[in-house]
Amino acid sequence: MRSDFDATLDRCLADLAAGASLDTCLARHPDHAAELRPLLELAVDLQYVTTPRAADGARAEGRQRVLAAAAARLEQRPSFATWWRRAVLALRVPVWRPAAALALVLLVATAAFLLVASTSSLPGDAFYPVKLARQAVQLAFTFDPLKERILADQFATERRYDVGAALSMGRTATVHFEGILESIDEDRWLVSGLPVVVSDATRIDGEPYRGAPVDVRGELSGAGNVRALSVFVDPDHAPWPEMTGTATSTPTPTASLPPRTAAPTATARPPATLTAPLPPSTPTGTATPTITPTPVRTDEPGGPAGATASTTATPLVISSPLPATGEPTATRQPTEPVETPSPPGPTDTPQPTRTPLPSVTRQPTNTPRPTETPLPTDTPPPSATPQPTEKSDPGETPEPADTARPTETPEPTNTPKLTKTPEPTETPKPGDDDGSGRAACKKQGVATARRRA
Amino acid sequence: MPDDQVALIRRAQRGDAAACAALYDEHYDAVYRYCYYRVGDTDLAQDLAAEVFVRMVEKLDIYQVRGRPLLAWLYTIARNLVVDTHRANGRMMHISLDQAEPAVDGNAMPVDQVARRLEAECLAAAMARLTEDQRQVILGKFVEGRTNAQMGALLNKTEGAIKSLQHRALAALRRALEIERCYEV
Repeated sequence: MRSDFDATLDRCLADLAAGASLDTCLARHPDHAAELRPLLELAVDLQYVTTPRAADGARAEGRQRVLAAAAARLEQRPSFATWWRRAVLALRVPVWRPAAALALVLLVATAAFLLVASTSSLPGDAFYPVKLARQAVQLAFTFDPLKERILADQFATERRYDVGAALSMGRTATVHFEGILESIDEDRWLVSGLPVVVSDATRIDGEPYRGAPVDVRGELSGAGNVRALSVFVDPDHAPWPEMTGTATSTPTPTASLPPRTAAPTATARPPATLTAPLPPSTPTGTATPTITPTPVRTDEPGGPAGATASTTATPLVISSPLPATGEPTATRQPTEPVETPSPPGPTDTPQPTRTPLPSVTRQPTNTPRPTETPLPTDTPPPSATPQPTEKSDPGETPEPADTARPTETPEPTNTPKLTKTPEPTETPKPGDDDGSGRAACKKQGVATARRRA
Repeated sequence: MPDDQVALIRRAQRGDAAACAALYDEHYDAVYRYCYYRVGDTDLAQDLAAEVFVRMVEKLDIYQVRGRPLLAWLYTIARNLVVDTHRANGRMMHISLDQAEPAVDGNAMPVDQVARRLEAECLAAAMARLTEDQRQVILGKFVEGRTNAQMGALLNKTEGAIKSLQHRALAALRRALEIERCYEV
C-alpha cells in the first residue's frame, strides 16, 4: 500500500517535471489526491528555490587552492603508506587483501624460521624455549595414548641429550629434564648419566631411591653439573615390590609369573646345572626372568665359591634368552667360558677371577646399567656353548665343573669383595629388607619398564 | 561511472593538476549547494566547498573507484567538514536575512508561485531538521533535478528505496517548513 503510494507520487513528480500541471496529476489519482497535493506543491516550490550562487572570486580562489594542493602533493615525497596505497590502487584490488597476504607470508616465514632455528638449539639458546614449546604442542595434538607416550619418551631423551650437550659446553641455563636416578652419593646424584648436585635449597618431592624416575628442574652450573632446584620423584613408580620366594623353584615358571618376579628365582640353582639348563633355556626365550639371577646370585653369600661360579654360569643362561635385559658384564663372560672348554680350560680358570666383575655389579650402583647393556648379539655365544658338548668330550664337560673349581680356588673366596661385603649375605634373601636386594629389583624394574616403553 | 570520469580520477590520482582542476569545476556547484544547505551561510559554504576539494586532492590516494560517483565521496568529505565546523562554532549558524540574494526573476515565475515563494535560507533552516538521506534526496531530486537512478547511485540505494525515501523526505520537509514558518513571509 505504501509502496503503491510511493509509486504514484513518483509518477506525478515525473509528470510535473515533464510539464504537466498539478491539477492534471491529481485528477489522474483521485484516491490519493488529498495526500498527494501538499507533497506535490512542495515539490513545485522546491523547483523554484534558487540557491545563492557562490561568488566568482571565491570560486576562483578555491580553484587555486586545489591546484596548489595538487602541486604540493606532487612535490611531497610519498611515504611508505602512500606508496603502498598507490601500489594497491594499481592492482585494483581492495587494500586489505595485499596487506593480509603480506602479513600471512611474514607470519608463516617467521614461524618456519623459528622452528628451523630452534631444532638444533640447546639450553641457553634464545630459541630453546621455542623448541620446548614445539614439543609441548606436538604432544598436545597427539591423541593416541601409545604414540603420545612414545613421543614423550623421545622428547625426554632429547632433552637429556640437550642438557648433556649444554653441560659439556659449560653453559649456564635453566633446565628441566626427566630421567632415572642411577646413584645417590650424598649431595651428588646421577640422573640418567647427568650429574646433579642437590643442596639444602633443593626441593625434593617424594622419596628418592636408586632406579626411581625423577623430574629435575635446575640450573647448569657451568662446572659440568646441574644444580637441582627441585626434584620430583614419580610416585607412580613406588619402590620395587617384594620378591616372591616361590619362584625359586625353577626358572620355567616364568610363563605364569611376571617377568620381573621370575628373574630373581632363577638365580639359585644355576651353578650345578650350568650345562643342562642352557640349551632348554634358549629356545624357550623366557629367560628374561632368569637374567636377574646374576646379581642376586653374586650377592648371595651362600657360598663364596659357589657364588662366584654361579655368577659366571648364570650369565650364560640368562644371556641367551634375554637379549634385551642382558647385563653387560654377565653376558660377556659367557663367551669366555666357551673358549675355556678347550684344553687350557684349567689354565683359564683364572678367568673366573674376572668373576669379580659380577661382584662389582653386585654393587647396586652398577646394576642400573642393564639399560645400557643391550648386547643381545652376545647371546649367540650361549648357542656356541653347546660346542663343548659337540666336542662331545664328555670328559671335558666336567670342565665346567672345573670352572667350578675357580670357586674352589681360594681367590674368589679370598677376594674381599665378596667376603668383605656382608651386605650381600643379608640382602640376598627377598624376605630381608636390607635394601640392596630391593634396589636390584628396582633396577630390573626400571630396565623392564624401559624395555616396555 | 562513465569511463571518462574514471580516467579523469586516475589522472588526478597520479598527480595531474589539470585533472584535479577539472574535477573541481565539474563538482563545485553541487558541493557548494550541499554545504550551503547545511550551514546556511554563503561565505562559509564557499570556504567549505573549497576545503572539500583540497581534501579530495590530499586523499585521492585512498580513493577507490568502485562504481559510486565521486560526488558521493565529496558529499562525505563535506559532511565531515560541516560537522567539524558545527563543533567548532557551536551548534548551528544563524542565517542572516541580508545574505539572501534575489532567488529567481519574478517575471519568470507563475503568478501563484510568486505568492508562495520559498526562500533558500528558510529551506536551509528547515532541511537542518531532516536526516542526511532525506536532505540529500531533497537536494538532489528537487533542487538539482537528478533522476531516481542517479540518486540511487549517489546514496547506494535502489530506485524503489529512493521513491520511498523521497516520499518521507517531502513529508518531513513540509513539517519542518511549517515549524520554521517559511510560508508566512
